[in-house]
Amino acid sequence: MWRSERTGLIMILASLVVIGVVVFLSVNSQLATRLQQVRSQGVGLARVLSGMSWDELVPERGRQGILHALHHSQNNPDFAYGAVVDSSGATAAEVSQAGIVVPGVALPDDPAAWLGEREVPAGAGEAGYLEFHAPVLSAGELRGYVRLGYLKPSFGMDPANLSSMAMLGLPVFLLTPLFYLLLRSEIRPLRKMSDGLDAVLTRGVVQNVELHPSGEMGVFIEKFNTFINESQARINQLQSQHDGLVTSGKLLAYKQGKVEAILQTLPEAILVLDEAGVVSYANERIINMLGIEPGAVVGKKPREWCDNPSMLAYLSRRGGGGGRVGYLTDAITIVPENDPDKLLEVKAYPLFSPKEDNRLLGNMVVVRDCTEEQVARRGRVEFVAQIAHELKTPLNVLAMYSEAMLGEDGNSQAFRIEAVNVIHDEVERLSNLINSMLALTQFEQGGMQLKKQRVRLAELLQDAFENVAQSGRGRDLEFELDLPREIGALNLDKEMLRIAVNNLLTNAIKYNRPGGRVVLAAEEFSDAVEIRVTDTGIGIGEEDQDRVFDKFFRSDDEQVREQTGHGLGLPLAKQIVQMHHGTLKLDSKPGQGSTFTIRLDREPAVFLQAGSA
Amino acid sequence: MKRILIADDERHAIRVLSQSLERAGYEVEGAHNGEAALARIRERQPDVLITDIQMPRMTGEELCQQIQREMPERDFLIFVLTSRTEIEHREWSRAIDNLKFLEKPVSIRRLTHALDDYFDPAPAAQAGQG
Repeated sequence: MWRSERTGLIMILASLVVIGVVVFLSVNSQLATRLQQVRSQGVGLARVLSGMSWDELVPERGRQGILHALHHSQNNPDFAYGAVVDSSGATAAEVSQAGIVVPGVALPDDPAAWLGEREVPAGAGEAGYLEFHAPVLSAGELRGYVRLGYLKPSFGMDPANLSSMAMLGLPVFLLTPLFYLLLRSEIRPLRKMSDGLDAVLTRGVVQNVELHPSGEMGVFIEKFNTFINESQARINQLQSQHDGLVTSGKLLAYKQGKVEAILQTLPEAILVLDEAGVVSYANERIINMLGIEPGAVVGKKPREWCDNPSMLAYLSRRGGGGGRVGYLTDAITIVPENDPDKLLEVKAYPLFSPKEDNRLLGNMVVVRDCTEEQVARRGRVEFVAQIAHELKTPLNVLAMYSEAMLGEDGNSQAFRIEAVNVIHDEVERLSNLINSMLALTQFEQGGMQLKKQRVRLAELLQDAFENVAQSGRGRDLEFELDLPREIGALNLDKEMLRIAVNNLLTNAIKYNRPGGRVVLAAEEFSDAVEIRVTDTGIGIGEEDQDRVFDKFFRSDDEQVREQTGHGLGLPLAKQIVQMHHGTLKLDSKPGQGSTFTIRLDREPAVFLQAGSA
Repeated sequence: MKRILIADDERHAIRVLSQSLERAGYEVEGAHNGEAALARIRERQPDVLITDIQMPRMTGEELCQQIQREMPERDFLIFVLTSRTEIEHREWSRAIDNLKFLEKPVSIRRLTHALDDYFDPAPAAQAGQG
């Protein structure tokens, strides 16, 4: 607002200055014109009067001369005085305006200066006079001078010219507000546009200028509005593009997050190498597998972080070559530096470009922990080899005895008896071995279902005891059965428990010493039943106590080796007890004997009173 | 008389093999594990060693390697009885000279022929033809 007011003020001041200048110039020009008029009149008149005779110039006393005629005939307000003086300077005739005294000033003597113009000072407080003088000759002699004085035109306002000045100044003064109003009306759309631009700049609101002036401004505003509209359209377009980009960016981030989450959940460690062999992605699993943080490998070549020489060689083989297809996708197994017990399989899969089939973008390297697999495979191989050995050992004895029987040895009665006994033992051993192996395998695969029924434990134990005692009768051993009068009936697999007890009793006989004892005892507690098999045999060394329940384990002890055995009896007994949710415990002292204790927990559902059974 | 040492933890195997080989005219001695066999060999080297692999205290494999270390100049033959047929289980034997594998179950007749052949090649070849 102040800006427009200022403009108005400046315009008024400017118009005043213009008026002043115009007046000054006009007055100045008038002054010059008057001076010119005075000069031409003065010079002309002086010459005319100079050509007249003295007598014509100086009238007789009491009569009016030519000077008077001249004074009255002309209405030049500037005329001050006229005088005729003789050569000595004395006035012969004179006329003057009222109030003006003809100044007595000497005239030049030099004939060259007789005709001329000079300024004559007036009295104090008055402007000087411009005097024109010329000689008056009489018969070739200087008789006197004609002097004509004019008021020197001074700078000042002539009241007569005041109205014309006003006429000149008024239109200028009137034009100013008109121009100002015109300017304002022309400026208004510009101001609106300015406001519009302000709105754009400060509030981001884009709007048209709602004015429809004609002419140049109209064209300009139309173009301006077009420009605004196009800008608006462009901004809208950019905004929608931006929105689209934001949306697709979010979608991409979501998808990437999903893919990364999947990659993180994989049990394998994943490394993605670009075609230059630089790691571009690694999931968290490499921490466990290789002992390296993903951050320590991303953006680096394998030689910068890979400690394992064979893995480094494997990864380096794939990195180079310009990413062309044509390499093997074989796998290698490595033992990582951070964990020597681990075995890892490293396999690279080529990542092909979706656009160019034979263009390789890099490789995905999958690192898989195959420790358990390897252990299982080794275990399987070991198990099969062990079985082969265990089967072939009795077979070998059988083969040799039968072959010997066919030969000359077969004629000996004693050898035949020996052979038959050995063959019987070995066949039994083979049969036991096969049964135990099948049972164990079934247990391990979870394929063995216990056929549980209510069992009178006392009867079962008695039965097992008698069978074993009978087969051990030939040996110099004492057998003892120590059962309480009543034991609660138990819900269990009778045949399986019989095998377990039988295996313990058989061992008690086998690894006993002449004159030793074998005791089968049972005891009932409030929460469990215990079955104990005790022998006074060779006992089990401390170093072997943990291992006797391992499959195929046989002690290196010579006294053990003297007995046939396959190392499956105790593992099987333990499996059976565990299937019944019980425990099998061993107490043994080498040279004194061993006690194996089966403890079966009493459960309300499976533990019943004998009387009610 | 040629001396044969049998190392096997199966008593019956030693028993029947000794009887058959003695009948074939050899002097036979038995040892129940690798350690016992090695002690016997240190005392007096046999002409042939027949050893099982799986034995307590010292396996047949360890026994053979120990013999190779202690007696690089030995000239007696070693028969190794094995129930394993995989080549990888025989890798260790490459470093040991004059060693043969016999797969279980062992035929006493074939073993006797092999021994005869080893000690007296010509008649054995004739026997093989006959």
